[in-house]
Amino acid sequence: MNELTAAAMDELWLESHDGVALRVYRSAPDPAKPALLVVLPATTTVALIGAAVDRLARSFNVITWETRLVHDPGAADDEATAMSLRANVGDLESVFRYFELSRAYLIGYCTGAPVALHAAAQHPGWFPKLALVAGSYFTQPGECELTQHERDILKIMPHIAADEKNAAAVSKTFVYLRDSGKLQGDAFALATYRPFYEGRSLHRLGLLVEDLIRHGSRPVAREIAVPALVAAGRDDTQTHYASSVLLGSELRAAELYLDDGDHYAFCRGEALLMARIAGFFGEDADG
Amino acid sequence: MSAEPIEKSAVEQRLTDIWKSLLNVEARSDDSFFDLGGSSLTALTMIVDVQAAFGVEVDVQAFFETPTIATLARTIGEGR
Repeated sequence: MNELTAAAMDELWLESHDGVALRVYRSAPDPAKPALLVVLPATTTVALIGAAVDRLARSFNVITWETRLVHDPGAADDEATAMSLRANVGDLESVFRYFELSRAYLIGYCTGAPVALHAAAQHPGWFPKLALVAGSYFTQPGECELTQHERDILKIMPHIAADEKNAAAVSKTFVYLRDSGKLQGDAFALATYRPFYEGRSLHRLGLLVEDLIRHGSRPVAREIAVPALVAAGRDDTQTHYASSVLLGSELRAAELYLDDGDHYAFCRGEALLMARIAGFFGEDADG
Repeated sequence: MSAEPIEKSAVEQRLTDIWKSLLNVEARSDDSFFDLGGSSLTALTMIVDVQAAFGVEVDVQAFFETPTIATLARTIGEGR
């Protein structure tokens, strides 16, 4: 399966801690199932993980939300503050409180992984277990092997964050590439370019990524005591599995799950990965 | 791979250095950026670097049609 599939989820809006509107999704609630929060990559909408949600919803009440202000053109007084790591962790806290959860399992995928890490560090009682999938940990050259994509992101995102005009210029080129059919990648890869087609969205994405780069992931990983599953694929050309191995070595109680998958194995809901995640949380992936 | 036909100009050499910083390979003037491992995002990063280094607007369409150092050097020469 290489196409995006719509997840069977209800959509609702909630007002986050600073008044920003969040687009939130949840699977059909079942009081017998434990809650599972999924922190999405900042670049994508929920459509990217439709297949994963369908599979995980057999065992969990799945709740997720799209990264603030990137996919919807809301207003923000101070964009750098609104797009900070802190504000994104605040969204996770707002979602947790809105659904009146006492505990939930937590998955962070791609750029959602560092947000999940910081939330888990701040709320050890909320999240008994944490799964990090194909995480973007923004490790630096010299720390471990990086993909070309990671090197590109480390270089271009600070430029995009520095000035909305820079973001607009980059965005203009992406629109040209899209319209001329020159963008490379399958449906999943192309879906992650969505914010790149509009200058303001791209600038906001750049501000968040720049803040994630500034914080890094290794220091906060050392603070996390709950069991964590770190999953990565050797064929991932977006985030190198070496950064997952490195990150896992910083966690106090980590299990590493390494397979031959690519960056989008999670999006496709690949059976072995889903079973591993569900098994780690103590549930059966097939419900 | 063909042998380098002629000596690189100063502009081409500067471009070669920029490509090497991104792709980790020593490119010839007629090598395709994408054959050397560059992606669309890498190309964007390279264009930003080139514009900063030379102070000119890169003709993006011309580059993506012929993604070589020779093409870039020509458009940079015309833009100065």
